[in-house]
This record gives sequence, structure tokens and C-alpha cells, in this order.
Amino acid sequence: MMQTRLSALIKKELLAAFRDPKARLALILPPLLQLFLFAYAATLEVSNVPVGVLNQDWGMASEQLISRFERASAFSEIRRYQGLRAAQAAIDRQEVMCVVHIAQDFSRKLAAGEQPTVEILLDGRRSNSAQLVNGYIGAIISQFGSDYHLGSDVPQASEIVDRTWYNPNRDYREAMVPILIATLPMAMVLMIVGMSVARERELGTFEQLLVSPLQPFEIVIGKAVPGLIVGLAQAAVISLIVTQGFQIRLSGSLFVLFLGLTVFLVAVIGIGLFISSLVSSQQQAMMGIMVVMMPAMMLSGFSSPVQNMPSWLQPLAMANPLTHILVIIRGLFLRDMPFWLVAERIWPMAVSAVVTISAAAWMFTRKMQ
Amino acid sequence: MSATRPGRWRRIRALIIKETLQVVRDPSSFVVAFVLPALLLFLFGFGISFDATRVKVGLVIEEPTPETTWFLASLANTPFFDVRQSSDRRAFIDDLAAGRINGIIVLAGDFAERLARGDTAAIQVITDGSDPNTAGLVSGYVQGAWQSWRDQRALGSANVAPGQIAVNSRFWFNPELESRRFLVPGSISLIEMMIGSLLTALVVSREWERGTIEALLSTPVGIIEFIIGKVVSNFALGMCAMGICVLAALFVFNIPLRGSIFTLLGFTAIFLSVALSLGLLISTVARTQFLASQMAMLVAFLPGLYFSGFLFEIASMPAPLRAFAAIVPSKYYVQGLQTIFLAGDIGAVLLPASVVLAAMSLLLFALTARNTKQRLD
Repeated sequence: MMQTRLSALIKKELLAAFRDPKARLALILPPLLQLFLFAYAATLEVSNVPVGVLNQDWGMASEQLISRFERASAFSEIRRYQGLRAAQAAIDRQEVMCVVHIAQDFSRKLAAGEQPTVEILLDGRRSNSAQLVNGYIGAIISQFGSDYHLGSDVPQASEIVDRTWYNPNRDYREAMVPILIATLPMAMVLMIVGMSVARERELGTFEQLLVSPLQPFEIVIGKAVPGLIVGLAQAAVISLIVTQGFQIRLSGSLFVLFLGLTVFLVAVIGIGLFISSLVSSQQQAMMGIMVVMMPAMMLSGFSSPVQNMPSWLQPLAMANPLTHILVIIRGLFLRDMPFWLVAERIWPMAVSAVVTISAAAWMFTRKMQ
Repeated sequence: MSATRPGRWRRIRALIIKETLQVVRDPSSFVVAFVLPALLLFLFGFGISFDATRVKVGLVIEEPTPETTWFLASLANTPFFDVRQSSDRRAFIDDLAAGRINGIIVLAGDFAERLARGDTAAIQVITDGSDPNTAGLVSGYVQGAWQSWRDQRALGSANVAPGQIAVNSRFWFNPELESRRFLVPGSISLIEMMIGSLLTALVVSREWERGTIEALLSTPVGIIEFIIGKVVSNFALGMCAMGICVLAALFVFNIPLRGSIFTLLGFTAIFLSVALSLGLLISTVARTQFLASQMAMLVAFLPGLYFSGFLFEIASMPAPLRAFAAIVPSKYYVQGLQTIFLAGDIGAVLLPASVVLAAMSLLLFALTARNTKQRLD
């Protein structure tokens, strides 16, 4: 008896979410757009930027150094400036992000075995990109210096051997795109679950639901299961696109990934139900979802690492289920994270799931009385 | 014409009062006008940071000698590293896999021996590529620490090793390299975009949805007056939000304002007019509030987030996306904001940006006027 009641409710919820063509569009179009934007626009890496050069040296060595910048893939072209003032004006105008200033004694000092100095002027208005450019240029100059004296019999005293594990080319797409397996279903599930009760409220059918034989926990399950089905289905489709379309290899176990996703989505559903139990119209539900989703996204390590946040914000990040699922997804896709490390991230999500679902159930029980 | 003018101004004033009351009373407008801006400013000011000031690294010293202790000290003395030490690299491999540390630096057992013998001693750096940005910063920091350690060693011994070039980097406008200084102006652009377009689209589409627009237009209120009423109240709201954002930027987040406040407000007024006309245009296309808010998110908010250049690097995107970024108004506004806040009133940046924004605003406004007329006929 209870089973037929529940399955009828689940079927009704799934129909309600997808029957309206406008609502269907609103559920399907944004994820597709985000997938596209993420794959091609979400990059912090710096490439294809012009680099400015102010060369006051007349020797050969400085021209050899500049030709190395020309060959570097990060830079699109070399723009030469005649004086310090022109170079400064170019940075002010944001014509170039950096100017490499080679002083007039560069070649002489280098030939004499002394230590010449190269000054790099950078635009701190975009300090993250400027730091990356600074790193590239520093590495090129340092390599140039050691190559220049390769002929001499005194070897370099020490050198840096730089290795990148898990994602050897430091490719942004490999690091960013798998994350969508969690963030896009999260957005969709929040919309479906968050709107569902609000819609019933607006249409006045919620009272009918309350006077039906359904118990509060049955209503919760009936609203939760469709969200879980849709969320997991979307996660599966995106996983396919990520692994087949973008050719990003899942190095860990698929089963563990979906175990984590299931716990994560249950926690998200709890949040959605809770929002839904507070609001009285779809408009309000949408505002509520936005107010919850933005911090959830930004305080999760999604766009910048959690460890950079101030310490008073860290507990909030730890309570956020998205933080943990992102660690799991990055770990399983790129690092082949062992199961016991994944488990460390699953239980905090399980705790949030239990807390949010019971809070929502409690709100519904209160409404019944 | 002159006879109707006093009446017209009275009508417009009444409309503005009505609009303002409507925004203040409706909870969802209140959320868009006050809660979301505060949240965005807070998140970008505190939550997002690219400043890996204390990257966690594991330093593996396979055989401790005075040389390796010296190297450890030069790492620990910079504010950039949180160093843990071990004699075996296996101790750190699980930590790296779990994301608990950002990198491993290995000084092999023969490090001191090779240094003493005059062979090249390798310093191996292993970074976690699953966070490419932090990986890049870790390499950069290690490179810097290594250079200063090498320079100090060279000072100690008589001869400079050949081929060493000292690199002296100067970051203008933001020598402390705080990412907050470009993220907060960027988030102001998102806030202004949201108030300008999302709020305008919502309040105008509500009039269409409820049919009150027909009721309003059957009164002496003309379509132009109706639009002016909507625009003026939202414009005032946007400027108020701007004032609050500027105060928060200056006094909560300690961001310098190197340009003048008048330039900032004038430039913001131009951008706000673009955002408002975009919102009006959306409201004439979308018939319902739900659709209007979805469209505003897709047309105004997402491009403002991805293609304004404050979070993601436009130059690194593929060519079609770079071309698209050129028509995103937020891109010009962010450029101007970062300049006014961090660099000063630089005409070479601000004038072209203002001209482009003003042109966009005129175009969008003309489109709106045409669409509105068509819908009423």
C-alpha cells in the first residue's frame, strides 16, 4: 500500500518537473551552456599574451634572450619600447601585462662572468596572471643563463627539476571539467526539489497532499527520490561526456565515484527541501536557491582553493558538501585516490545529508499540525 | 507641449515613488537589490582568493647536512611556505594524493656531496597538477626561494657561478599581490549588472505578467514616462548599491582608491545605463518573471562572470570566445574599475571604455523602444 502511494507520488513529481516546456528548457539549457563555458572559457592559465621588452643593451646576448621570449608559447608577440616612460605608459594602458627591462650592461656582464640584472615590470591590477607570467619569464631567463654558459667548463651548482604529477601539462580543462559532474546536478536537483513544494503551495495543492494518507516522511521521500534519480542520471550523462567527449580519464573507481555522488546528492536534496519548506512562491524559492547556491559554489574550492580562505571561513567550507565531493572527484579522476581517503570525505557529507533531511522532515511535520 | 509639461513631471515623480515602494516592499526585489549584492561582495572579498600565501609543501631531505639545513631555512624564512620535513618521500605521497599538501621538494641523498664536488645538484619539485593554478604558484615560489639561496651561497664563496642572471620583479599597483584587490572591483561589476538587468527585467516583466502595464498605459502615462519611471528608480538603487560597495571596498577590504571618486561614479553611471537598457530589453522579450530571471542570468550574469576578465583570462580563450568577450559590457567596466581603484584616472583606458559602453547603451535602448512599441500595437 505504502509502496504504491510512494511510487505514484514519485511519478507525479517527475512529470511535474519535466512537463512544462519552458521549465524543461530552464533545466536543460543552463547545464549545457555551463559545460561549454567550462571547457573553453574557465581558464586561469596565461597564454597568447603580448610581452613588452625594453632593451637598452647593444650586445648579442640580449637579442638571443628576446628571441627566446618570441618562441615561448605563452606569448603572442614581442612589443618593443624605447624608453622607460613609454614602457610604463604601455602597462598603464593595459597594452601589455609586463615589460622585461634589460639594462645596458647586460651582455658585458654576462660575458665577463658577472651577474647581470634583468628587471621585470608587471601589471598588478591582475596579480594572479602577472605572477604566472613572472614565473614563465623567470624560468626562461634562468634557462637562458645556464645555456649561455654551457660551453664553459664550470657546471651549474644546482638546478630545479620541476615535475607535475597527476596532470603533467597542468591542463585547466582536465582539472575543471570533471567538477561539473557534481556542480551541474547540484544546480538541477536544487531547482527541481526546491521548486516542487513551492509550486504546490502556489497552486494550493500542498494542502491536498497534507490531507492525503501520506505521512510526512513519505512526502519527503516522494519529493527526494525524483531529485536523486534525475541528479544521478545527469551525473552519468556528464561523466560520459567528460570521459568520452573530452577524453579525460577516470583513474579511480567508477563505483566509488557514484557512491560519493549519491551521498552528496542526498545532502543537496535535503538543502533543497529545507528551502522549499520555508518559501511560499516559486519566485521566492528561486531567490532562496540562488542565495544558497552562490556561497555553496564559491566556498567549496571550486574556483579557488579552500586553504586560501581565512580560517574563520574554513568551518563553513567543511560543512559544505560540495567541498568534499570536489576533493573526491579531483582525486578519483586525476590522482587515483585510495578508498580510505575517499571515505574520509564521504562521512562529512553523510552527516550533512542526515541533518538537512531530518530538518526538512521536521518542517513538514510541523506544517501538518 | 509646454502646457503638458508640469503634468508630465508630476506623473513621472509619482511613478518613481511607486517603483521605489514596489522594490522596497517585494521580498524578491529586496533579495536582488540588497541580499545578493552583499553576499557577492562578501564571497569575493573573503571566500575567493588566489593568494596561496602559505602553500603546504613536504620537504624531503634524504641526508641532512649543513647545506640542506641552509636550504630548509631559506624556504621557511619566506612567508610563502608551510614546510613539513621528512627523510623519506613516501611519507608525503598519500598527503599529496589526498590534497593535504600542494607539493613535495626533494633533496636527494647526494645533494651536499654533489654541491661540494662541483657537480650539478638537483632540487626536485613535485607539484599537484589537479590544481594547476596553485601548482604554478608553488613552482614560482620554489624558483624564487632557490634563486635567493643560490645568490646567498654565491656571496659566501668567492666566485659567482657563471650564467646566473638576477631577476628583479616589480608588481605595480598591487605590490602585495593580493588577489582581493582585483576580485572586489570585479564583484562590483557583477553586482551592478545584477541590479541593473535582473532587477529591471523582473519589475518590468511583472507588469506585463499581471497585465498592470495595460492599466497604466490607459492612464495619461505615456510609454516613455513609464520607462523613465522604471529606469530612474533602478538607477538610483544601483548608485546606492555602488556607494555601499565603494565604502565596503575602502574600509572593509582596504582596497585603495587611486583615481577620483567622481570618475568612479561617472563611469559607473554609464555602465549602469547599459545594464538597465539590457534589463529593459529582456523584459520586453520575456513575458513572465520566471523567464525574465532565467534570461537575465544567461545574458547578463554568466557573461559578466566568465567574459569580464576579472576571474578568467580572456587572452587564453579560443578566438570565437575572445570575439564574444569584446561585446560583453562588463569587460569594459571591469577594466575601468580595476584602473580607477588600483592605478588612477588613466584616460587612455577610461575614455575608449566609456565610449564603447555609451554606444552599447544607446543601441540597447533603441532596440527596447522599438520592441515596446511593437508589443503595444
